[in-house]
Amino acid sequence: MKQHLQYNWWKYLLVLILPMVFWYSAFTLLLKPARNEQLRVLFVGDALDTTAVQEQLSQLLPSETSQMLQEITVAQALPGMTSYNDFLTAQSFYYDLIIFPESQMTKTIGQSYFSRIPPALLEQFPNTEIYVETVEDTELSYGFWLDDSSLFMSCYYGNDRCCLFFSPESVNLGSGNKQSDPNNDAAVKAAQLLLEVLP
Amino acid sequence: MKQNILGTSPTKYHRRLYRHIALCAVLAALTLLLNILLTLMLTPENRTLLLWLNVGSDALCGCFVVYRFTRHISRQQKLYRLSVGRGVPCLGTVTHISERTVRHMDLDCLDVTVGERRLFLPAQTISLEIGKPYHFLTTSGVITEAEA
Repeated sequence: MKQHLQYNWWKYLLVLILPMVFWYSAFTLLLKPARNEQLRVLFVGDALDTTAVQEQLSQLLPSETSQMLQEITVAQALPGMTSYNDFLTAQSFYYDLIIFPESQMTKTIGQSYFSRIPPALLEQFPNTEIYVETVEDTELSYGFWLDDSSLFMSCYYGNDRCCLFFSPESVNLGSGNKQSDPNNDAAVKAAQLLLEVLP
Repeated sequence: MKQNILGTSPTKYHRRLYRHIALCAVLAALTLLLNILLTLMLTPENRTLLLWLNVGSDALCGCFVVYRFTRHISRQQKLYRLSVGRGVPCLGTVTHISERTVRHMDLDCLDVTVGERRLFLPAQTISLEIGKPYHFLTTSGVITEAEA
């Protein structure tokens, strides 16, 4: 037996370690909330109190939407070493709402990276300044300017104006996106909270 | 008397080997089924319990398979392959048998001196007596058959 262990101890060690690594990774992956169970907000910059915004959203959002959310994340980031184009393309797949300070916005940011806001969705944001871009002589709405008195701006300590966009990939836009279930409207409700346009 | 390293006929030996392999395969399949069953029951609340149940069952099954394979399959497979291979005949008197085993072809072997030749005898297989002449069959320097 002693000789057996002398030659084969590493095999026993391997059969103890491998299942731990495998099952830990598998369970983490399996229990990861689905896209429609998480709401993610990104601020492109570094002047936001993300914890405060996250706390406010976690507190207020559950009473505004019937959608069951397991995770609400508010993050801030800058393109850094990656190109602006790569950065925004990648983020739009991951986040539901993306907020930009004016200094981080390009002239055609709406038409380059986002979809125009459908009229039905626009109606849910009364008295809000809309960010528009002119495409072939037509003015199209792409985002919302955040008012200085809004919830979001109370947690922002920069000087720029900020604009909120909906990710075209979000599945939490309710009737505002063909891909999403009409009941999954957490992103719309979160935007209303951040813009303070809720009735 | 003729002795071979298998201690029985190759057919019987092969059947016994197959039984050991089948036992390992069945146990692995049952563990896999248990893993699937436990994973289907996974919820955020019972995550830790199921994680350790899966890890525990896999580790136990793994240890059993490793033990079986190294003690009852791997060595026996090598002996079987050596014994069914075409052996080289050798005649001589055993002059020395080592007390300690040495590793040869990944097998624990006794060092046997036959005349001026050095041969290897897999441990706990054939019993030889010093000073007696034998007809040997060898494969790659390993004694597979001995006849006094």
